[in-house]
Amino acid sequence: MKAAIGLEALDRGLDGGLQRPSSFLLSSEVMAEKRSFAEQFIATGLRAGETCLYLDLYGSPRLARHKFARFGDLPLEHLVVASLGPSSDGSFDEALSKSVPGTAEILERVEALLVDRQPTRVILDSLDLLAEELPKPAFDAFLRDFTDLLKTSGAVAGLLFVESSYGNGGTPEVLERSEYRFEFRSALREGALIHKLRLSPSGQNRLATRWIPFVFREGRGLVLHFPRVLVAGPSGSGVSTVVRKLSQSPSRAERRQGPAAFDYGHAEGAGWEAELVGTPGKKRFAFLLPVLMRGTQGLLLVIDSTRPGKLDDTIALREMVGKKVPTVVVANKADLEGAMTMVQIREGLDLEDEIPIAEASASKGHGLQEALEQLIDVMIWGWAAA
Amino acid sequence: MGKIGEQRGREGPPVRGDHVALPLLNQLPEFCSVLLSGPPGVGKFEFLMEALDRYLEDGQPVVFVCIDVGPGELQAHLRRSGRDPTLVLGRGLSVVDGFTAAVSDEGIEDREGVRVVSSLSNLEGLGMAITEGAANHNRPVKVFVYTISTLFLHNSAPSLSKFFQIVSARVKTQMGTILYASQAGVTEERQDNLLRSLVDGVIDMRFNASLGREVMLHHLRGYRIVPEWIPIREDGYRAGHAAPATVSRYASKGENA
Repeated sequence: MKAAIGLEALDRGLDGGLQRPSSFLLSSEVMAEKRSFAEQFIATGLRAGETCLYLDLYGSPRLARHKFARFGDLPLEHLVVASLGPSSDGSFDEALSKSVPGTAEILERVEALLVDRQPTRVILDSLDLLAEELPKPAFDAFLRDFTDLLKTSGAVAGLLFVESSYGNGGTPEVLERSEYRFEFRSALREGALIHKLRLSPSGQNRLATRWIPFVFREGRGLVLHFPRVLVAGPSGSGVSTVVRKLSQSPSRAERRQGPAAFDYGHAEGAGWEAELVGTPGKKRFAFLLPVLMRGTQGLLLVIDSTRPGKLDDTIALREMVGKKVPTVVVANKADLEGAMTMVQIREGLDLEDEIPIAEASASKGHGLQEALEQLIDVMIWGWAAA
Repeated sequence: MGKIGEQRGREGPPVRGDHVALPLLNQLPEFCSVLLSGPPGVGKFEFLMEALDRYLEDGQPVVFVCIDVGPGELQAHLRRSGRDPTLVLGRGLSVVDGFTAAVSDEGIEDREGVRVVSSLSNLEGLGMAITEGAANHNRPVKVFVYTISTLFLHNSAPSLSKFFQIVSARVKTQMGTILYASQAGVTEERQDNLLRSLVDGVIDMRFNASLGREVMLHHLRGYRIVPEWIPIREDGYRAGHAAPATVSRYASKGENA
């Protein structure tokens, strides 16, 4: 059985998770939020009853252990947190060292822990300290021995690494050969802290994702979070109904009569969240479109399957949003008499083969969640997921 | 500062070193990086505390990075200046605590307004905590680091320099102003010069021959500075000095020549 990461949309694309044994690299060019991902991987293992080893080079296992409380109830008795760095007093869980040990000593201690505790998941947090202390050849040799040791044990191991800590940047060859590589970025955008990750080809793995934004939810853990998914369609196609049916907490900017501006909703699925913005169909609100489209990550393109005459408007809308934006066509009212077939819709919209069309009935709520899930997959994995 | 003045046996009423920090800091742009450099004991911490008080009064948010002092010392200062720390922490003030984990294994959990970093070697954790602290507030944010020098004891010079460059660039492009306190004379000259070259501006503090204290805005990128050592007195700057240094934006490119 594979080692699930705990982000279902990612695990699904990886056929259940990471292969065993294997190593994965969590890297960033400069500082970024990688640790939550590593903790998520460990928390998922703990929930599955696995023994997990968290190796901390920074010497504060108590703090490292405390961080797991953020994931809600976990069987922490299966968690081993070990300090490989200098410790300040004797109260650490595993008082392994009073000074930064040599690499041979670290390997010996890790081997002892692997034999003694037999963990199936291991995190080494973080390699920066060693990368800056050791000469390059010694660091590379340590990494080779360390990954070999872990593979022999059968565990899946994650290694956290900041590229700027390694000589003049870049990644050591042995890490390039990790079975999986996740890259991370963190930045403040308009006052909000945005974290993103992506899976990149590495070793035998040719799979890759687009950059995926994520957030941490107290008690739940890591959640993929798409801050702007556009739900767009010509007037009367059912955009407002789609947003309302998909949303946990729909709200709508309203005037006394009819829509005032746009619809907004928050949708959730297994391991993901999306903020839905429904664009106005009425022409008098067309000026809002460029504002709403800014930073769009995905598009649910809603059409009224019974009105072929509106397809030209739909084509114009799609071109406005941009053909590169991940898109799923929602063929609304597909259950009504006279609805176009999928082939007719594809031809009428001049759609590329890879763009999925999902038959739906917004008023009955049929097919909408599936369409959004499909869009989430395209936003993560690109068109290959379609 | 009044307390220190008393200990030094100076005359005059104990005051908080009013008008030391703010006239200088008010002249800085809202988005920049500055090094506050001076020998141990010259009053860098008081400088920052005075600035902290004024910024809090003005409703300007501050992220304080504790490296040489613990959050407790910061809270004690807030109480001395008549503020309830519980009302300030997480609101106008966020604290990044790199100090506690380095000295103790107890009580190192994150709490309201305080983010704990596991170790002073954990530069990535420190950088992320600064970003998270700033994200809690409206921009522009003031980030105080007290002190960058101690981080040299826990990290190699190249990796700390990279951290310094990355954090400075991040703060001044995305958050606001960062002010690093630095102990002059404790790091190698080359290292000191590198730090000075990586920031937009430098404020120097020094003791003069009679052990009086002086401060100077040494340079500020993009601005024309007339550097001048300004004596610090317990009752503020010497009479007649409205501003401690003259700063003027280049009126035209040619004016720089």
